[in-house]
Amino acid sequence: MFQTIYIEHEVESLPYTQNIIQHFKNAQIKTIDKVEDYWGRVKKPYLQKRDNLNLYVGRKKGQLIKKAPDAYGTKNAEHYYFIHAYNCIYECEYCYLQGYFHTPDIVLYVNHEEIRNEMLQFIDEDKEVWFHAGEFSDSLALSHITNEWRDYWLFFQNHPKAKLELRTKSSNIKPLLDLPPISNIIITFSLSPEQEVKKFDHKTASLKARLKAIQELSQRGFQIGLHFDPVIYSEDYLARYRLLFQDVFQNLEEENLNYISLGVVRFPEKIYHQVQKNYPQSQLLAQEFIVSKDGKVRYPKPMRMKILNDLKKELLTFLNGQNKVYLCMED
Amino acid sequence: MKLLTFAHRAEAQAFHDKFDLKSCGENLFLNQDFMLLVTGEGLFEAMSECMKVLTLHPEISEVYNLGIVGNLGSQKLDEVASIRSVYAHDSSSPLFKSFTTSDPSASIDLLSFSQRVKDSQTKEKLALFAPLVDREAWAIGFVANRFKRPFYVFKYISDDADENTQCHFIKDSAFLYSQKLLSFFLNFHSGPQNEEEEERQLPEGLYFTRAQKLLYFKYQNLLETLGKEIPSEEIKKIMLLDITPKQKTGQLLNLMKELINPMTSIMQEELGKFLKPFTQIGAQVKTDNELESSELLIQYKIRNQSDIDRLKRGLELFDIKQFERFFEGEF
Ligand code: SF4
Repeated sequence: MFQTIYIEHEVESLPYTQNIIQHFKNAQIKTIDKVEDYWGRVKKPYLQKRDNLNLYVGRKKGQLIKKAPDAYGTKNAEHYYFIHAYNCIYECEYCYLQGYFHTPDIVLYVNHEEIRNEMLQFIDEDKEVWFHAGEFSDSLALSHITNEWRDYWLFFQNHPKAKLELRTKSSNIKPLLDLPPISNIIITFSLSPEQEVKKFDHKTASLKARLKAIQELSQRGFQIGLHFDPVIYSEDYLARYRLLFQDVFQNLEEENLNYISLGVVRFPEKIYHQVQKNYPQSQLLAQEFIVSKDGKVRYPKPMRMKILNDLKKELLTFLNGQNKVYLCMED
Repeated sequence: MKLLTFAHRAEAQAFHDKFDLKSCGENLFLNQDFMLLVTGEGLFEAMSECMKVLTLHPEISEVYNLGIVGNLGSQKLDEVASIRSVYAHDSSSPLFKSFTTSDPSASIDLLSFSQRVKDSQTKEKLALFAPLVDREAWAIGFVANRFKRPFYVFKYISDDADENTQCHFIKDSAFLYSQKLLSFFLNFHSGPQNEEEEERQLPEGLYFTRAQKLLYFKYQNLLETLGKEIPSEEIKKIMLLDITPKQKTGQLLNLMKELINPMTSIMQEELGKFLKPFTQIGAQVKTDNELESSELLIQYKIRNQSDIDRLKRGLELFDIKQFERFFEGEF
C-alpha cells in the first residue's frame, strides 16, 4: 500500500509506530526529523495516491483539538474534532481532501496520549461534549494497523459525559469487536445507495459490507450513527434512498441508533475545480450546481431543500416518530 | 510543431540525424515537424532558452524534455522512463510548485536539482522527494505550463547519482543514450495515443457556434454516463419548428439539459406557474439567478388606469407564501 514510510525520530520507538512498521514489511523506511519538513512541501498531484502513496508517522504539534464548524453533529452539545491523521486511503470523487492538502500522502500522528490530555481541558462533566475523529481522514480504515482506539475506550469509560465519534466508509470493525460497547462512543457510517457507492466511492467498503458491519456492531450493543451525506441527486433518488433505508433499518437495532445526519453534496469552489480536474468524466459534473455568493458550489436552494425534506420525511417513517435526524449545513 | 529540448548536444545527436534538422539559430534546429533546442545545463539556462523559443514560436504545440538522469533510489539503470511529475530543489529546500506531464501512463517522478549530485549525503536528502534527479526538466515544465502546452519528459537512467558518477563515461556514451531516447520517443508516438481524435458527429440541419458545439459534446457525454438518449421524436419536433437552425440548436441543448437534470426543469416549471400572474400581463420578472432567495424584481410599464388595474390583479393573484415555501423545498 505504501511505497515509503517516513518516521519522525521522536516517535520511532513508540509501540504504535512499531506496530505500523510491522504491517508494511515491503515499504522502504526512512527516518526524518519532522513530518512538516517533507509532507506537503512540494505539490504532489492528488491522483498519484493510486500508485505512489507514502506514509508519514509523527507527533502532532500545536493545537490538537479544534472547535468543529457550527453545522457539525447534534444540537445542544459542544463539538470538537481532533487531528490524529491527514488524508485517506480511499478515493471518493466528491472528497474535499482532494483540494485541501498539497499532497495525498497520509500522515498518522501517534501522540494519542497528548490528544487525550488535551481533551481533558474541554470535558465538562455537566455538559455534553463531542469529540469527532475523521475530519481529515477515515477513522477506521487503518485502525487495525494504528491500534489506537483501545486506549480511547478506557478514557471515555471514565468520562461518560464526553462522546467520541468514529466516522467511516470502511467495514473495518475487527479492532472494535473485542472492546465493550459503551454508550458514549458512537461509530458512524457514511452511506449512499448502492449505485452511488459504486459510482463515486472508489476503494471504500461496498454498501453490503458496511451494512454488515453496522449489523454486527448493533447486535453487540454499539451505538451507531448514520450519515446520509453527501446525497447526490438522481431522477429516482427517493426510490433509491427508500431502498437503502429499508436495508439499513433491517440491520440496526433501534435502541442502538444514536443519530442520523442528512446532507446534500456541496463543495467549496476550489474543491469543485479539483473534481473537474481529477474526474473529468464524473457524473457529478452532470449535476445542475450553482455557485452561491459565499463561493460554495451546490444545488439551488429549492432543490436541496426538497431533497432533504423528502428524505427526512421518508426516514421518519422508519423511526417510529423519534426525530433523530439532523440536517447538515441547512438546519 | 513539437519542441524537443535537451541539455547537451550529445544527448540530441540521434534526433538530429534521424529528423535531418537544419540550424535556425543558436542551438536551435528545425524541420517541418520538429524544433530541437539545446538549452545548456541547469534550471535557469533551460528556463530562459525555452521561454525564448516558445515566445517566438507560437506554432509549437507540444514540449518535450529528453536527456540523461541519475538514479536516487532503486530504479533500474539503462532504461528510458516517461516521467510523471517533476519537482525541484534549490539545494536549500524543495520548491513548492510541481509539474505533471501529459503522459497518463507515466509513473516515475523526477526531481530537478540546482547542482550536480556528487555525494551520497545529498543523494539521500533528495531521494526523499523523488527517485530520479536531473537539472532541467522542472524548468521546461514551468515554461510549458506558462504557455499552456502539453509537456512530456523522457529520461534515460544512466547511473546512480553520487560520488561514483563518471561524467566522462557518460559523455562518451551519450550517443548511445541518445539512440535509446530516440527509439523510446518513436515508439511513444507510434502508439494509439497519437492518433488524431476522431471527428465527432453533430446532428444535421442545425447550426452550431463553437461554444454550442462544446456544450453539445459535454451534454452528450453526460447523457452517455447517465445511460440516457435524446428521444428521436423530440429531435424531430425541434427540426419541424419554424425557427432558424441556430435557434433549433438552442432548443436541442435545452432538451439535453432537461434530460440530464429533470429537477431543474421541474423547478423552472414551478417558478413559471408562480410568476404567471405577472408574466401574463406582460411584466418582466427577475428572480435571484442562483435561486438562493425569494426576492423578485418586477418591471411593468404603466400607461393608463387599466395597466394599474392589471398590475393590482397580478399582485393579488401572486401567492407569496406559496412562493416562499417553494424555496424551502415544498413543491
Ligand atoms: S472516505 Fe472520506 S476521507 Fe476518505 S476519500 Fe472518501 S470522503 Fe474522503
